[in-house]
This record gives sequence, structure tokens and C-alpha cells, in this order.
Amino acid sequence: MSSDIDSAAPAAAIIAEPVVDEAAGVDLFRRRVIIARTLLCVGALVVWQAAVSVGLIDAFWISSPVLVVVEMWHLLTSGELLNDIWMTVSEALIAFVVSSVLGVVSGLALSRSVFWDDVFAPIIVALNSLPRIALAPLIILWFGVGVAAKVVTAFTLVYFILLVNTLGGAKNIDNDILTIAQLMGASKRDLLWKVVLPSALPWIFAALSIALTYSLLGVIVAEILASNQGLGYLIAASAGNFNTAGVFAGLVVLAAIAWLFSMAMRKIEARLLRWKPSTASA
Amino acid sequence: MSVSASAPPKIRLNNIGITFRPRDREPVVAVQNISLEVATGAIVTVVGPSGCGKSTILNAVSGLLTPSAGYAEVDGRRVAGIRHDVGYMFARDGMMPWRTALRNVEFGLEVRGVANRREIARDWLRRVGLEKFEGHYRHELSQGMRQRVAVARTFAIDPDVLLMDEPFGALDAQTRGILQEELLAIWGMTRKTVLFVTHDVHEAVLLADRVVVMSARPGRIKTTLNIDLPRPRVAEVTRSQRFADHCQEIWELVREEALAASGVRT
Amino acid sequence: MTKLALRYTPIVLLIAAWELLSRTGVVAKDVLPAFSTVMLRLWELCTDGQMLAHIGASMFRICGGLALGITVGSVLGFLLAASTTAQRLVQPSLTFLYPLPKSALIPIIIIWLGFGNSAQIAVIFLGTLLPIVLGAYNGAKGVENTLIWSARSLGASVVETEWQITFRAALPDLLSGIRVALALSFVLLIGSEMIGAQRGMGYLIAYLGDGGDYAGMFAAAFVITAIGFAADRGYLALYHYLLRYREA
Repeated sequence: MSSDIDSAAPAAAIIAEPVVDEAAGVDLFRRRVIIARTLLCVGALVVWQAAVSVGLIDAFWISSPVLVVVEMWHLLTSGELLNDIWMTVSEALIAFVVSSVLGVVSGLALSRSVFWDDVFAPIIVALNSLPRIALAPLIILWFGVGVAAKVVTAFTLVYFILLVNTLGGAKNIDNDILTIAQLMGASKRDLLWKVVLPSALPWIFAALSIALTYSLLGVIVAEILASNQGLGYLIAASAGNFNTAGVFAGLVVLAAIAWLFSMAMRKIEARLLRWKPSTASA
Repeated sequence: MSVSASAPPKIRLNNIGITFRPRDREPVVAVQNISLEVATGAIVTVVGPSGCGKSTILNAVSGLLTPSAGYAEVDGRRVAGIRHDVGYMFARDGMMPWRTALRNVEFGLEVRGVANRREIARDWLRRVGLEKFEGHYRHELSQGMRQRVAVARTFAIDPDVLLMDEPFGALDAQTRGILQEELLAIWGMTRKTVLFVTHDVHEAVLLADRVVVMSARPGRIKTTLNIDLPRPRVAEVTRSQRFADHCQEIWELVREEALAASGVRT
Repeated sequence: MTKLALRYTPIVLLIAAWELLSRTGVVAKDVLPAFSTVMLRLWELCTDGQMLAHIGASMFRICGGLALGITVGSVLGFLLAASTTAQRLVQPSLTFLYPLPKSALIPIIIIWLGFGNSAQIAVIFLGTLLPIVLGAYNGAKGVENTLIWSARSLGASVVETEWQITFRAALPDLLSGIRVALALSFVLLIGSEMIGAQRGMGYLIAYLGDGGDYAGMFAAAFVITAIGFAADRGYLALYHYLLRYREA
């Protein structure tokens, strides 16, 4: 158990909304919070725009909100943006799904055998702590410039995260529950599906939310390094032309996509792990 | 012993010895020369100082571990490998946190492929007074309710033999008292054979037809006492002088062993 | 001893298979240079002094970026935990920015800061900031109130309480956050050096690859992954040392 840190134990992955207990005045209070947040965002945008308009900073370096919106509209109407979004999202999703499924399956399989776990443990632990991104040029060399190289790059980043965490979760199982299930006549198959998998699920989800970020990260790095499509390419190509508005347009879209992904993940997690005591009330 | 020749015992322990051999360390003799018979439908409780190997006896009956010497029998057949026809309860509830109370009770029936498992599970939840909590998860239940779920889960698979390892040990005194009553009530209806391990002398006397007192490690059977108190064990029985005498007698025996185990000579 | 040998057999077998595949020509030498060729090239790169200079550049950037990230990140995290108002205001921005793959910031930061050390340090700083903020925040939020109350009732000042109780109690979460940051920092370092730098291990890998020196590229990748692995193991040792009181 002492090496639990090898896998990310389930934890709150994001700063939770503060809980307001008093029933009275909650609506008013929430409204004020939302107004304050909106003012903060709008204020930041206004300051940015003003700094450029007044001539405090050259738009060449930091662009401006208006220029970014114009650039985004331009990219959208030319169809380029949608194509880049489609490339990046599909590659990241393919890498995410394939490496997650394989990671969970191999993690569960390995947890069933003390022998194979012992044999593979040093390799897996080593591979998991390697900065595997260094292999990206090798992967591009092997798979050429294209979808395959990007997916494989993301795969090497994500697969081990899932494998290590699934294995950690499966080993972390409560022995009382396992014993009782065995005594009640559960078959090996029952044990795997009805005991080991659900018990490892919080660990798997902790890994999945990291994996989502990493699969996008891997795809973006590969797109910046060698590609001619995708949001990473859009950002890198804009930067190459010193088109900062284009860079920011790409970044905003990418941030929105990453945020949507993580929201979807948290919704699924909340649904599948609704049996977990909520962290907010603890 | 009190077993007649006509009715063979439900559980028989035949000169069992269990020795643990941890790697790189001296072997530990947990129990030695344990011979014990439990008649069908009887409750036998086992008391003794902590660490005397009480739980390992249950493990030998359930097949969770194989004795180093001797053997255990259920229904005249030797135990080899994990038995699926015994009900087992621990001090920890062992509830699956990802299943509701109802689905926890269903688990055993589910892996056995029982078709009307939902009705059976509902019925048992009702009997332990949790019908209003069937949709609740583990963290939404009190410790006493969790242990009630464990009782329902154990009885739902209708086992012939119940092995209970300090099942109420983690509960507060009031809840423990209530659950003891409930267990006796359910046992009165079902007449299962029960082997019950505890360190609580009052509990041992309250439940038992027979109390087995174990010695300090290595655990041997020190004495066996028949508890000839009437059933049901209502309040008048537990307040009686005979009940107090039984408790006193067993308490003295256990105390001697506990002192011996802690190195104090009497 | 035999157990140790058994444990590392798979790695030895893997290397043997690699050597064989390349030597026998099953896989083209360009695609997969033989293990021995890579080791030979590694020796050359190390002895002519090139490798050391690149390692030095990379290590300087990692240390700089992480030091900034850890300092600013933990202070921010503790402040957020202490002030509900601040937390309410920045929570949506953090939620929005947390999942953004920080590698996407590399091109714009290179425009701003050029090809020197500062660009890599800035990328690593920005990329590692949020995991550390989150670690410090979760740790500080998770401190049991009874600990704080009892410290205050024993006469500890607010500052003393923060340092002696909140910081100590938050340490495990903070250290876990830093480990995530450490792994990320290598990814960002190499990524940013491949994209825009004239020194550093990422640059060396890309440069050797572009020049068709695949054995050299493997050698450089091998070195930086070994350093990353050593850094992770070293950090783990530090983690267990700092939290040794937890291990029963």
C-alpha cells in the first residue's frame, strides 16, 4: 500500500463549488456570485481591448478580443476551423477510447495473476514514469505524418496511466467483500464483473480524467510537431505567421473543447459513481 | 457430549490443528487438538482471549483454510475447498458500497441464478426492519443498519450453517443488544446451525446452547459448558440468577486465559 | 537473488529481441537501429561533450519552471482555500482552464519570449501551476477543523496555525500534486524544446532525427527518459521521506 502514489488515488479533480448551507437567501447569493464572475470576465476582456485600442500594447503581440472574434468568424466561414476541430477531436477521442479500453482490460487481467503482475510490474512502473513524449519523433518516423502518428503518440501517453490505475484499484479491493462474495458462490467471472471492476471504478475514473487531458495534449504536440491539419497545426501555423489573433482563436476553441470533454466525463462519473459519498458533504 | 447417536452432528471438528508458517519467521501454532461437534439446529458459541485462534476455526469449517492437522466435516463430509453453502458474517459488514442495500442482499442469490431473488431479498430486508432503506447505499446507512443488511444477506441464501465471527463486535451496546434479539428471533424461525465466535461473555451465554471456552495461544478447548436456560431468551431469563451464574463462571475461565496470554501468572 | 534475476528477465529479453530484430533485418535498420548501435552512439555523444551541454540546458529549464510553479502554485492554492470569496470568483476560470492541454501554449509563448530559456520555463510554469494549486487547495481544504481549533485553543497564533497545522496537514495532497506536475513538466519541456529551442534534449532529439541519425535520436530519447525516470524515483523517495510519519 505504501506505493499507492504510483497510481492516482481517487480525489476531487477540480475545485468544488463552495457549499452554502443557509436555505434562505441562497438564490440572491448565487445571483450575486454569478454577477461578480461575469463582471470579472467582461472586465478582463475590456481591459485587454482598451490596452490595445489606446495603444498601450501592440496588437501584434497580444491581439485583441475583437480581432480574435473576427479571426474566428473568418476561420469558421472558410470551413477551416470545423475541419481542424473534427481532426483534433476525432484523433483525441480515438486515442482516448482505445488506450482506455486496453488499459482497463490489461489492468484487470494483470490483477488476476500474482505471477504476471510480478513479472510485468517493474516494466510497467518504469514505463509509466518515463517522459514518453520523447518518443514522439520516433513515432512520427515510424508511422509517418498523419492520423496514425498522432493517435499512437497520445496512446503511449495515456495507456499506462489507465493500466497502472486500474491495477492499483483492483488490488486495493476490500478483502472482506472478496471473501464474502467467494463464500456466497461467486464464480471467477462474477468476481471480476461484480466485485473487482466496480470496486476499481473510482480509481479508473481518476485515471480517465487525467487521460482525457493527456490524449488531447499528445495529439496537440504531434500536430504542432508535424501535421497539416488539426487545432495544434492551426495554432502552430498561425504562430509561424505571427498571426496572434489566429493563435488565440485556436486556443479558445481548444479550451472550450477540453472543457466540454471534462464536463462530459464528470457527468458520466457522477452517474456511475453515484454510490460514492459526495466529497462536498465530507 | 450431548449428541445422541441417532442424529449425526451438522458440524464436526476432528482434532484440528492449524499452524501458520510465515516466510522467514518462526511458525505460529494458532490452534491445537480442537474437537467439537455442533448438532443440527444448535447454537454453539466460542469465547476466549483475543489472539487464541477462534476465527481460524470458522475458516476451517468454511474451507477458507485447510487445517495442518485433523479435518472438519459438515454433514459427515470432509471440508475441502471453499464451501458455498455456509453463511459467513464478520465484525465488518462487508457491504459492497456500489450496491444498494437491496442489491447487496440479492448478491448471493444473483450468483446462484435464483429467479425470484428480488422478492426474497425484499422479504429479508423487511425482516431486519430495513424495508424503507432498500435503495440506500452503504454510506447512507448507520453501522447498525449495515450489519442488519449483512444479516439479511447471510440468511437470504438460506444456508444450512451459519459461521459468525464477532458479527456485532463493532456495534455500540444498544444496537448490539437489539441485533442479538433479532438474530435469536430469526434463528427461532429458521433453526439454522450456528457456530458463533465472540469475546463478549454475556453474548456467548445469551445466544448459546453450548459455550466453548478456549485457552490462550496456542488455542485449545479449555472447557465446554451446556447452557440449559429456556428459550426464547426473554428479559426474565437474562435477569435470572442462573444466567448471571453462567456468565460469572465463564468470565472467570476467560479471565484466567486472558491474564495468561498477557504474561501475568495467577 | 534469483527473485531479482527473475524480475528483470523480461527487460533483458526485450533488449535481446530488439537487437535480434534489427540485426537479422526483420525490421529495417533505419526504423529500428540495433540496441548495440544505439549504445555505441550514446557513448560517442556523451564523450564529445554535446550531450552534457544539452542535458544541462534541459535541467536548468525544468528546475526553473518547477520552482516557479511550486512556489506560486502552493501560495495560490492556500490562499484560495483560505478565502471563500476568491474561490467563488476564480472557480469557473480554473474549471475552464484546467483541462486545456498546455502544450498548445508553446507557439504563442515562443512568439512572446523567443527561443531562449525563458520560453521553456514559462511553458513549464504555466503547465504545472494548476495541478499544484489544486493539490495545495485540496490539502488545505481537507484539514480537520478539530486540529485547527485545538491548535488555536492551545494558544497558537493564526500564522503559527497555518504553518504548523494547515501546511503540514496539506502536505500529502500538495506532494501528490507536485508529482503530477513533475511528469507534466518533462512532457512540456521536451515538447517545447522540439518545437522551438536551439539547445536541450528535446532539440537534440528533433535535430538528430531531422539529420537522419536515428541511432543518435534513440540514444538521446533513451537519456532523457532515463533522467525522467530517475527524477520520478528520486521524487518518490523524497515523498516517502517527508511523509515517513504516515507509514506505520
